[in-house]
Amino acid sequence: MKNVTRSERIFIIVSYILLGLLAVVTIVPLLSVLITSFVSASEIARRGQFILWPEVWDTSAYGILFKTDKLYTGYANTLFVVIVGTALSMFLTITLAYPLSKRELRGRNGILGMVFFTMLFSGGMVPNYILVKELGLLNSRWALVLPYICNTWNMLIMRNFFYAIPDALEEAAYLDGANQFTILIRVILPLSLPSIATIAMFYAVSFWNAWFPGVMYLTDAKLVPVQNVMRTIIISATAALEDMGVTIDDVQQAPTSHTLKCASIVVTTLPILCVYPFIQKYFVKGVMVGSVKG
Amino acid sequence: MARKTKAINDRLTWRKSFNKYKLLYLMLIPGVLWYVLFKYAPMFGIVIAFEKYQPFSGLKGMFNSKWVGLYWFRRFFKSIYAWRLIRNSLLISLKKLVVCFPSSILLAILLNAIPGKIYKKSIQTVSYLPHFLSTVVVCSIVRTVTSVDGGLINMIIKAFGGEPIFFIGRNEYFQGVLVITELWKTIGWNSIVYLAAMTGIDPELYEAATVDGANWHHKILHVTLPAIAPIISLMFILRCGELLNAGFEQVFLLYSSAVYETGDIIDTYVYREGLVSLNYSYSTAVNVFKSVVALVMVLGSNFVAKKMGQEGIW
Amino acid sequence: MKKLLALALALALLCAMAPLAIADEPITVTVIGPESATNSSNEGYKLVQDWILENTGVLINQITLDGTNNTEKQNALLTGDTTIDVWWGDWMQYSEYGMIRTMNEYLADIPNTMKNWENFGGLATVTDSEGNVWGLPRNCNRVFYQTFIREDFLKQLGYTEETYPTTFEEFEKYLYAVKEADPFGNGETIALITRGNMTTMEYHFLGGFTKHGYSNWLDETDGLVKPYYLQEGYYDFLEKMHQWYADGIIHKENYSWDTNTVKQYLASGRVAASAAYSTDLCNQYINLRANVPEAKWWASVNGMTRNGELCETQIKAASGAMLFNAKSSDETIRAYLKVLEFLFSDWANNYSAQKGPQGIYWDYDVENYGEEAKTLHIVKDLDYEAAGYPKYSKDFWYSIGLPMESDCVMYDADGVQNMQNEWIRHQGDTFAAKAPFDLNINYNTTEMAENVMSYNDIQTKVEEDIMSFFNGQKELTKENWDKFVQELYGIGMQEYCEELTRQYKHAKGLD
Repeated sequence: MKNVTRSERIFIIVSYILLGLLAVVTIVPLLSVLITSFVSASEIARRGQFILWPEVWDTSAYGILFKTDKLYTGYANTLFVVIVGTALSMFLTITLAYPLSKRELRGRNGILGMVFFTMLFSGGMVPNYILVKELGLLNSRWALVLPYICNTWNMLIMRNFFYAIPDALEEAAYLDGANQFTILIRVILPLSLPSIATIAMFYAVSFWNAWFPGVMYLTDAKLVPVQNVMRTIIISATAALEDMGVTIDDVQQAPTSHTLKCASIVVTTLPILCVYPFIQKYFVKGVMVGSVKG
Repeated sequence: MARKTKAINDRLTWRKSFNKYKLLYLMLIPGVLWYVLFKYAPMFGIVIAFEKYQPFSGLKGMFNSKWVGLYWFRRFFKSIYAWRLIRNSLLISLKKLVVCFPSSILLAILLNAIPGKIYKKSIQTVSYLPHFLSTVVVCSIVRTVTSVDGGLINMIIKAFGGEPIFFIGRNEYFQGVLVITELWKTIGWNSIVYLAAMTGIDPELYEAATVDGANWHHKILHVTLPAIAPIISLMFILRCGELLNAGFEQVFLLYSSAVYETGDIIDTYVYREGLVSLNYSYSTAVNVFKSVVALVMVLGSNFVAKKMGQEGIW
Repeated sequence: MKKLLALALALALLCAMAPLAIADEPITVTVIGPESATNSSNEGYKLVQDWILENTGVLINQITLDGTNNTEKQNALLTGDTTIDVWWGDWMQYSEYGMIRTMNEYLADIPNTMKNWENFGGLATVTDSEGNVWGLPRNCNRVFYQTFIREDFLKQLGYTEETYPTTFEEFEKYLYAVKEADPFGNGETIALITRGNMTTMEYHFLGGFTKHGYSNWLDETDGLVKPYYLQEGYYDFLEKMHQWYADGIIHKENYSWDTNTVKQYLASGRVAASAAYSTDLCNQYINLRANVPEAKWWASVNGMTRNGELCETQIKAASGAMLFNAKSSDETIRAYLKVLEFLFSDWANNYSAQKGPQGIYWDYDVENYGEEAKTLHIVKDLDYEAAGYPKYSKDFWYSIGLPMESDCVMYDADGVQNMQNEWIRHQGDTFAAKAPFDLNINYNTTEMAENVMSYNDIQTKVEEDIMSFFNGQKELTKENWDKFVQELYGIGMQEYCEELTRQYKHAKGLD
């Protein structure tokens, strides 16, 4: 870096500052939610609504949340959707992507075209809704899973992964008399484990974050996933609390609704933020490969 | 051209292909069935846009409802709100495009420019993070932060002696809130593809430019940008297909009837008419209109991109 | 192998989807629970379900909606494969779609339930012009929008009972005074809360400005029935509301709040006067007292007046009703009616459906009021938690129970009369409010939308533009208002008025 000009140095310094600002702007709202979830009602009464650093870290909002049945059923429902959904998704995505990665396969372009067209045109909300209803999936956890188990974009990324594997490896196995199932399982899948992990996490995160299917297809309060439980709390903290069977006298001094809303955001988001640093690199890799055209 | 010749060389006859890959064909079946059932069957469902479909009449209703032709489409275009819905959908997504699309490229360029490895990594980690939050969480954060009662932003406004502003309840601010929220959520994540493309640039190119006396902005203009131009064009075409998608979930979670003037979009209207008011046929007709426009836009932008010498999506 | 495992997993999951076989012994009736029915623990729900099963031999399978987007959800359920036998809704809409059955032949099954409704005239609201009864009534014409004022704040401001505000002008003076005095502190006192839309303000105050209040009216000049906002005086009303909003009497965000948020504020103690639904206010009173022990609500039972005109408007019994699925079997319907008759023929049973079985969750307060407690229905809550029983509240308390509610005196755990109960008893006979012009007429909105092509546009425009005038996004001047009215006529107000008139005449038998 010895031959860096003055203007270039200024540019780099400005870059550092701008990037730092971006990080601050990204983090501050999240931190403010986290901190507010620990502010007690008495402190709010004394110091006003917005507090940068609480004098006492009050956990009563979490105490209440963890006392409610709905949070646990919500989590159970979400786990079901994430685990079953991701498993089925991977099955479908791999069985589609692998054959479609074969250049010579006749009909490949037809199927690709058919798949691709669905990214451009869809029946829309109401026909989808009628379909789910006709399949008898309304008010069942399966309505949150089955219509969403294949994502065309993810499938195309998966296909690009497979595409990048040298044919020679397969040919060798093929000459040894292995059939395509065996090749897929013995040769291809072990080679693509990192990519499979990436795609699986794409699916897992989108299943975890999905909430609209819960609004559209679920009516029974016992089936809703945790995102929807949180939304109910956000919309109406006190009323939601009553719904959850917590009365105000359950706690000496009830936290304000504001605190409670923030706590519920934290509770829903924390699991994903905990695993995020570990899975981040897979995600980045997935996006990169996806952007290379196949 | 090279690709085409290759495709011809690869071609097997149907019989040969089938013999060689019968297990693979078998493997395709569940996926294809899924697409037919969950993607193509609903497309058939758009017939109700041309019928007077009775709610609660199920699948049978699709076959025996009264055929009304383009009645619902006419009804939509007669409504004084049709134009407003189209305008809002377009405006919101255009604003998002104009703000968010270059921002991600800029972020990638800045990240690419700085030498500090650890700093770069931490900025990346932080800026990708909002992508992993669900829309519900993001919108809840927006509500919290912009609240008149003790929200962060209004506290700052108050500290500077201003009057608190109810951002998500005023027409003049609503679209701005949507755009900034979108920027916050996507800027980091969308920069990944550009960063990836930049890592592919030969460092010698930069060195050569330096030798030629190029300044930092010359390098960006003449080395970096041309290298990532294909991916920019690809991303742009994909976004064009989304021009009528102003972000349903986000709007749905933040709007109220007070901001219909600037916030009501085609999708929220489809939702209200369809699932709340049970005008299934009408709601579907509006959606069909939207889908067709979107399709034309993708095809069109792809066509233009190819004419301009860039690669299209197919 | 992995693939086989995946396949086996998928198959196993598919099998798990198959509905479990249901034992066919007791008759099961599936009901979408009343809106208030979300408070119980699962065990509490089961306990009362069993209590009903024991007494009637009918198993009620109740589906509880989770409280957000309930309209969509109920519609979703009704189109679903789960057969819903009983739900609440607008009978006009569902009878149009052929979804519900007429109840005429079944009424004889529930003589005691119907007797409760005799004095309330509720049956009229669910009967069409041919005499078909489309459901069981939920409501009758009543006043649900009384303007409540915090009595503790009044006292702090130096009011005495003789000077409590009973006219609109006095009320306005109080609003500004209480805003200034800020008894809650921190500048957080909300002088007046509304239910988050114009409608509640119209119910509360429009009567003082116009002849008919919040009601359609007959324009003598052209003989047409017209909507309320075309009345003389509406502009003045809107101007006043806008002024209150601009002066901070009404919270800046109020117009975007949903009912639950409003309830939250009502419970917080910040609110000095309420133009919200009285049931919300009454039901939150217990929570309000938990936050502000000395809090008390007061309303002038003779109604508020402005220039001698009553401000509040009576609410019309809407076409909402308990509805019965046309596809459900006769047996199921009769089974459910048996349950209703059990719950509504005896006051104690009804109260048990609300609170949990007698003797565990509540009992007559013989200790303090003697044997009379049983006839006057004076009750006290029991400490069921100490006795090891689960939390139960209201799951099976069906809201056709208005007459029952007003036939008792309820006290809560602190020995304070349940405010909702107090007001339901009160308003039935004494509360003064304007009666709408078309009191017993239900307009059929499905027909309306069919005959007036711009019906939805008109509704949206009115809701939105009036709101914009209110919150200042549109400047409220005579000119702009006239322009707004002209625009309405431009998109089809004339047709709308003609359709209103047609339906009005049809309902009155004048056509």
